[in-house]
Amino acid sequence: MLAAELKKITKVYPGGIVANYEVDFDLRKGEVHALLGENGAGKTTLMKILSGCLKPTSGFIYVEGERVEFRSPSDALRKGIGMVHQHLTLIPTMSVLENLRLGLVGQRFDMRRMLTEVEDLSRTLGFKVRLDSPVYALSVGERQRVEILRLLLSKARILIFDEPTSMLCGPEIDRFLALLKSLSYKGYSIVLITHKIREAMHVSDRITVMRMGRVVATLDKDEVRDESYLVELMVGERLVPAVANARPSHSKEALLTVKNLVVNDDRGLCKVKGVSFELYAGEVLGVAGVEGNGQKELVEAIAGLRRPVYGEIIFERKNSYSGRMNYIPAERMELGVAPTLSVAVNSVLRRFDDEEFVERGNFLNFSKMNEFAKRVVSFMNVRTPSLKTPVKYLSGGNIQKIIVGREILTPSEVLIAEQPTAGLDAKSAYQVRKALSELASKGVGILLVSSDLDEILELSDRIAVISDGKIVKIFEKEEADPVMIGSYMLAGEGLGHNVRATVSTD
Amino acid sequence: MGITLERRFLLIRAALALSTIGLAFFAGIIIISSVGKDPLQAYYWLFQGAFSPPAIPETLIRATPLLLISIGLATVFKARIWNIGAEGQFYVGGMVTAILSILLKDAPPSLAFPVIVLVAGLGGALWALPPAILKATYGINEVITTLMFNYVAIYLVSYLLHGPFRDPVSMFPETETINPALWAPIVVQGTRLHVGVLLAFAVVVPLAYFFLRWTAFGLKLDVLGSSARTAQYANINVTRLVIQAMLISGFLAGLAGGFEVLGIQHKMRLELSPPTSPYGYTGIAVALLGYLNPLLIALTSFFLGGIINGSMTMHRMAQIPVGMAGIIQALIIIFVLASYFVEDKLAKKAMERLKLW
Ligand SMILES: Nc1ncnc2c1ncn2[C@@H]1O[C@H](COP(=O)(O)OP(=O)(O)OP(=O)(O)O)[C@@H](O)[C@H]1O
Ligand SMILES: [Mg+2]
Repeated sequence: MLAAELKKITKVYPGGIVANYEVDFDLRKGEVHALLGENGAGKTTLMKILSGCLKPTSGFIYVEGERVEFRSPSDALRKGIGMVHQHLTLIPTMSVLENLRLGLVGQRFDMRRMLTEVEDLSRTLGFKVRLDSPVYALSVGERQRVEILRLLLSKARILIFDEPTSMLCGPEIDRFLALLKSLSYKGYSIVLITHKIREAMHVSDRITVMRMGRVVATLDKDEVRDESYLVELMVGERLVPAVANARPSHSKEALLTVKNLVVNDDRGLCKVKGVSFELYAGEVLGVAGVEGNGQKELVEAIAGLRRPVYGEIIFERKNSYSGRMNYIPAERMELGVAPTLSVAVNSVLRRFDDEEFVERGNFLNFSKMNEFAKRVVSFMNVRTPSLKTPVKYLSGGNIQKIIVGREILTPSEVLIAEQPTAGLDAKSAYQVRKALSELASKGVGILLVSSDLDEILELSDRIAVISDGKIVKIFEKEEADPVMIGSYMLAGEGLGHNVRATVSTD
Repeated sequence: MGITLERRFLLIRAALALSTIGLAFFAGIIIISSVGKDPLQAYYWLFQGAFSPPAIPETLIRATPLLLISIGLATVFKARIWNIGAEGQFYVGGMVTAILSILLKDAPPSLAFPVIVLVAGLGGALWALPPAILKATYGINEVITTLMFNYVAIYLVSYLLHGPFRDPVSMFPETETINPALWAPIVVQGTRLHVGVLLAFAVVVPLAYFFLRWTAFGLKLDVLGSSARTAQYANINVTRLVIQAMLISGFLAGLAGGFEVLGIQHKMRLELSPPTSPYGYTGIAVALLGYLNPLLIALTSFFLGGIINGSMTMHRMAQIPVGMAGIIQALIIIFVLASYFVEDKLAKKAMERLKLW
């Protein structure tokens, strides 16, 4: 029995981009269906059509065999289809409870009933949410759970997830995938958009691969012989190699010194509890840890976006030529780009004080800006109709490519890279890792915060493990192995409840 | 293909603008007929009073305060700072102009005049400063503070005009007429077109266009308007930027008040702004109608200036109540703003129907 079916869906965006062309897609009841494809392949677009966020240019949608037309996401929700977006859509300043309440517009509202339902759901699914906490104070993982709750409260039976794990790390990913599995056993039908083939192989029953707006194949999991076959379908090439990490040993010249740093989060809770380290010229210092253990606050403090409570951050501008600290933030839409402005402007977003683009302190040099934007676009292979296109019209991965390209190509002394490859397809991710490695060889100090342990192991010269706001261990490259790192990550007390939760979802 | 595409959008926009204005006038026909007047005759006088050649200078004069105010508003609106306080800033500008003109009545005019104009602007800027500081440092909502400051300004002016600065021989609450040597010089003999009109259209418009489009300042406003957190990430000093933008906005509103006193009224009056369409509030619509683009704003302020004058003519010649004229103005504004929304939808539809692949 099919939960939903899309037939001959074509979507042309204003501006003439064909994001989907005659796409057929079906979703069986109670299955987990993975949707794979490169950046810009049209995955998000297709699922936005199924969830009523976009109207197809042509084609048909069937839900439980019945032909439907959606005018809005709430139409689709009424038919039981809900989507958790790539960029989460909760209202940050409102509390969890208010956000849940907002998901229920148009229904008769009964607070007591809602509270019991929330309680039931979080018990059966095995997670806790703090209903009175404002959303901005939650970690990405927590926000995700709130989004899921919101859909379940609205009686959605078909759940669509757009790259849900791209911002999560090891244990949280496992926990999330377990949750997906248990939802599917309970009869929910699930679409999982992802770039991680292993993940797709792990949880899904079927896999659909998209390329350039078309479906190339839909396979049962058993039909997939090995992972590189899927990669071939996605990009028409073999798996990308790991970055050869053969840099000369780095110097001991500290570019960035952090001493006894204490930082609070927005709620005033202490998240960074006395962190000290040095970042040397020419090294990649990886920061590994379960998301929510203070990485976000640490990085924001170093980048100057958050005032520390205590401690020192010393950034020595040794190189007068650049003297910059570049920063690839994990929050793309809210922080990394100005969504309504063009690709060109976003390519020089942090350089409005730079003589190269702004002459005599105030006059824009558009030709230089465009020139640089062109470099970013070609370096990262960004798919955009033009340099004038507002970035909000690009796919999630292409937005990410602009941010990463900009920060990598802008000369700097120190680069903070937070989740640099999240949401990128395998080829682009390889490109970024290679570029980071090359920058380090040229003497840039790189602080790499990533939830992808493989990435950290591949690139780092040293690995700092952060747990509950403290750096519990710094490994040299030679002595690092995943099991050890994992055990240090879980050592802090912050992890206690996560471990329990993982158990209870199984 | 890119060019034809952009042209198509422009066409849609233009067609829509014209048809919304048409729609507003159509609604006007119904309203005018419903009070038993002849709509054709009414509209004849509306256009006579607005855009017939002899009416053009007066329309330009009417457009000038709207233009200055709405260019200031465009500056802050770009950054999504909603200054609703132009009316108060305009009144403060007018009041300080009158006071200073009375104090400096014996000073050499060639020296006093520029000083007075400058101080008018500074007065408006000063009035915008407290809400700006509150917004920039404590994040206090500027819509409320600037709106409240309008009341403070207008009642303060009212007090001054009823009390200390009232012209003893006048029947109305207004200051004495200022020394004609200080009046804004006329640039076209036989009209009331004064230097302020010239300054607004020929200097402020191109300057603003340049500054908002070609400078880092203008771009920073865009970034702030796009996302406040991104502005912080982009190393923009948001506090300073908010205050700067508000000061510019207040300065231009104050300047508008100054020229209204120096060029037209030659005294400060309680009705410095026409009660049916106060400049400070109408300027909001003018700025939005002009897509926050100074060149388009020059057009929209000319258009609305014409409508204001024309509706007065319509009132005089066809006995349409002034309130009715106000309704028609409001309808035009509402319809055009509604077309923003429709435009987006239409453009999307048109693109999709073209099947460009
Ligand atoms: N609102 C929009 N307006 C115009 N073009 C768009 C819009 N959204 C997406 N596109 C374009 O449509 C194509 C498909 O985008 P989509 O977001 O579906 O890709 P995706 O497969 O989800 O990629 P990613 O993995 O990077 O998220 C891209 O070329 C993108 O630039
Ligand atoms: Mg996507």
